Amino acid sequence: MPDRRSLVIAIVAALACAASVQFATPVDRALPFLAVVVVALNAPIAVLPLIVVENVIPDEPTRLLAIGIVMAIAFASTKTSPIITTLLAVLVLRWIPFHNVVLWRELIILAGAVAVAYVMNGASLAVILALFTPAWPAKVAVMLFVIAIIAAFQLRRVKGSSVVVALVIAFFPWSGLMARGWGAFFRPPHQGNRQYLGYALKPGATTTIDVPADATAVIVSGANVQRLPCGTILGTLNGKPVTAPDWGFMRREQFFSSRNCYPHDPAGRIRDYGWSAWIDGAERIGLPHGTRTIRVDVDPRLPKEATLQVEAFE
Amino acid sequence: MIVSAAIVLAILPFVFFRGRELARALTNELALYALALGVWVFAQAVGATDFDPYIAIVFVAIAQLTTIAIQIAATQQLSNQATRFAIAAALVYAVIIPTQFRGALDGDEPFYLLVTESIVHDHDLDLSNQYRDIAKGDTGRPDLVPQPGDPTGPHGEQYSRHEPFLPLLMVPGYALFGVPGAIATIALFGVLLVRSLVRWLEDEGISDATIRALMPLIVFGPPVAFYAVRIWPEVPAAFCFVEALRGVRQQRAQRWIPALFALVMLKLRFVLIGVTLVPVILRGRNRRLIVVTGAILLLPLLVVWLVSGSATNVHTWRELIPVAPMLYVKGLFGLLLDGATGIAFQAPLFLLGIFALAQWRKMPEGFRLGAIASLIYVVTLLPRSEWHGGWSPPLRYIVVFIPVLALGAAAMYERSKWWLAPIAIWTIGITVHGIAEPWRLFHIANGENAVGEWLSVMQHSDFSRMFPSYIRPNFAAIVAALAFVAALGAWRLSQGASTMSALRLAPCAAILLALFFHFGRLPGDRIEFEDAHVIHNGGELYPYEYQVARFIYRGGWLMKHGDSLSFLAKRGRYVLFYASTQPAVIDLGGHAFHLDKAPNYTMTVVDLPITGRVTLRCLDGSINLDRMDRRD
Repeated sequence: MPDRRSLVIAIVAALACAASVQFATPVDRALPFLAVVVVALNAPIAVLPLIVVENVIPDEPTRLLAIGIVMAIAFASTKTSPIITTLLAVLVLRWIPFHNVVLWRELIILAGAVAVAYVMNGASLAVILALFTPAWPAKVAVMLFVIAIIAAFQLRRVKGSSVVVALVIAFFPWSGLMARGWGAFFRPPHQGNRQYLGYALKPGATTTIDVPADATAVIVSGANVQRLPCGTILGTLNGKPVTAPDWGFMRREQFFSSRNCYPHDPAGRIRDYGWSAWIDGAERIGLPHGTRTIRVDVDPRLPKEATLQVEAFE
Repeated sequence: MIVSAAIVLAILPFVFFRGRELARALTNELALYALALGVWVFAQAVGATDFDPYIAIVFVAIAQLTTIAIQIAATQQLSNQATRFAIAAALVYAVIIPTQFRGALDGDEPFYLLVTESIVHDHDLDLSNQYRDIAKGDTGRPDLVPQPGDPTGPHGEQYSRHEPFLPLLMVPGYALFGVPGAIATIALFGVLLVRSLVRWLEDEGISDATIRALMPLIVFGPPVAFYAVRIWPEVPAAFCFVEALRGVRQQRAQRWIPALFALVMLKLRFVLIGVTLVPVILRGRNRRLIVVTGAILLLPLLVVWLVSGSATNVHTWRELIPVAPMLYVKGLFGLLLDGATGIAFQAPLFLLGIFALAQWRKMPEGFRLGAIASLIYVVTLLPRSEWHGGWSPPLRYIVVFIPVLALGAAAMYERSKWWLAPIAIWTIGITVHGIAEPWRLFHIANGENAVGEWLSVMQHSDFSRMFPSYIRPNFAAIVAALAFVAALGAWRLSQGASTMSALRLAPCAAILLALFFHFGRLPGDRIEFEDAHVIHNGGELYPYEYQVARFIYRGGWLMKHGDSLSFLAKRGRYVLFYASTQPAVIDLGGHAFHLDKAPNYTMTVVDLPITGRVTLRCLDGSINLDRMDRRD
């Protein structure tokens, strides 16, 4: 149990951080919670860089990454028990933003992670498991942790490292991306200047669209196609086959049941924060120089609820 | 440069560790690289690209150095640590030297190099031909001209005001390797300083654990790391000073005589250290030593007289006469607490050395001897308008005393070790800044500092006023001075028994930091028009940035018809200070003001009706705007 002095320090640190919040993202708003975490990790000095980062880095991705690095250093330098470390790491990784937390599902994962940490007397495996365990469906999470706890008895001699926990924590503002969007590390998504179209074409539909003079690519995605196997041809574009994942296949609720793959030339945006973070499945298809029109034919054999979305020109 | 840094960082663990400790150090290093690579890849993925890659690389290198330093501090035993730290210093300085070439040689550096060039090529000290062919020289400064007051000869000879001993020391290095060789000579003195300092700390009874904990901050942190890789006499002087002190403490004339000789030859002002030290050394000694010591102290005066025609060169004996007391107060607190040039902000570790003065009797004898030897030098420095060092990296005039302050800090360490974490974090920041952007070590001494300017530009609000400035005294300076005196008093009364801990320190600092950012965003009571928070649309800085002895001018912003400024201000009545060679009309917040001609600075009263962003336009004429002070 924390002593009264630590409690006062945590409250003061949280108040200082609450007064320093400058931006509206869930990670920024969670700054007081992060202050409590670093005090619990017995690294209260980390509150200072948290406040500084919040105040001096206006660019959102850079700021959130900097907050992640500060938290990573706090976790790397902590000497608290593995159970406390695991508990705090799971809270940081999965409970921000709090309004997205489905309490009973996350409590299962939290309990499972703490159990693994207790058996192994180390936080590394528990934190990694907590990162990758899906909350949907919950039975998978339960099964995974039961297996992990059994395995942990056999792995007790394996020494964990705080560096591993730190490495995972460094990216907590987008932990969902860490868990579900590995492809983004090798092929990061990017967006150019866009001219939005907003076509949603049903199976068997055909349409012809004029291409703007300076367009070099067209952005497409699927809808209701998350259960189709990776690489399923959704239709053709000027006679060439089009493959694209479901627009929302990387959402935490859909990912486990989805059979889609990360786009080859990703054109999606990173959406949401923490374990809810995901990238939409927009795929970029390059247009040969001088293309004036595109003709899109949607495969009539697709499920009837599926659509091919022609989102924009770039 | 990146490759050489990586190689040095890979070698460093071998200097300090063996066996399992070595394996752990190398593993940590690899893990940190993996983390850095992971961050970089992830940053690309999430679009976090709003940072300078060069600064990021320097940060990773310093983070690696910090990891090694933490392990050095944690290691149980380290034999022959003086040599190990010296080797580490040599390796690290060798990597830092090329980073300094991102900026030109500045301040006194090109002049020292010019004298070296003259000695090597012409075998004389006459620089007239060097100035004539300055574009062909090695200084990289085609704009270089003699400094005002530089001595001249009867036949048009042009000498430098700087003593020739440092250029003489640099001759072998320069002759062999050019400018890098000259700088390597200074770095070599830095290495010697590190070795001597560790030896001295050991001699004075500082524990090995304390030395291991503090030396990385001293060796790789400011000001030693910055001055060891630039052409200034300060680091060689610090080495000579510590050797002189060691010699005196060991009663070894063969150590202190050459050290004292080299010290006073490096710079005339160091004679003041010698003068204070000598009576202590010569108590009850033989007449021969007295004669030798007298000769040592007189020789630099003779050399300077031969070169410049005056034994005091550009200085006068009057500088030794006490002047207005307030100048001493300003200089003293400035050296300690100034945001741009004070120990607290530029090398906070050594502030512990100042606190050590409050525990005078408990301090090692070497510290007391060093402090006494520093006395006349410091007292004569304080009232000078250039107490802050002028156009040079921070702490120029007190680098020579770093060994003494380091000993004081080491003696205080056991009672104040909780301060080490925040001190280390701040020091890492300064080191990264100084290595990544070496030209920013030089500042125009306008009362702002690098952090204040950066925040001011970012937030368009006057953050500089939140830092104490004794160059341009502000309210924060008064608060800081009172807080410092109170802290010193409390420290004295507590007999150095620290009750502080990181746990208590952090929340207090967090509250202060939150308040700092909150009030920093609010408008202040004074607007200095040349400051970074003012958005300048036209006009120019007065005097221009590279004006020699700029600190003696009253700064301002020159505006002419069509130029405008924008800044945050509170509503109320202000006194506007300006100079103008002709009548001018300005528009301030929508009200026109006719200002009389004022060749010298004068003032006028203006009113601002609202709080918020205000635009000041020059509608007619031209004007030098100094500042605006709120009066109600």
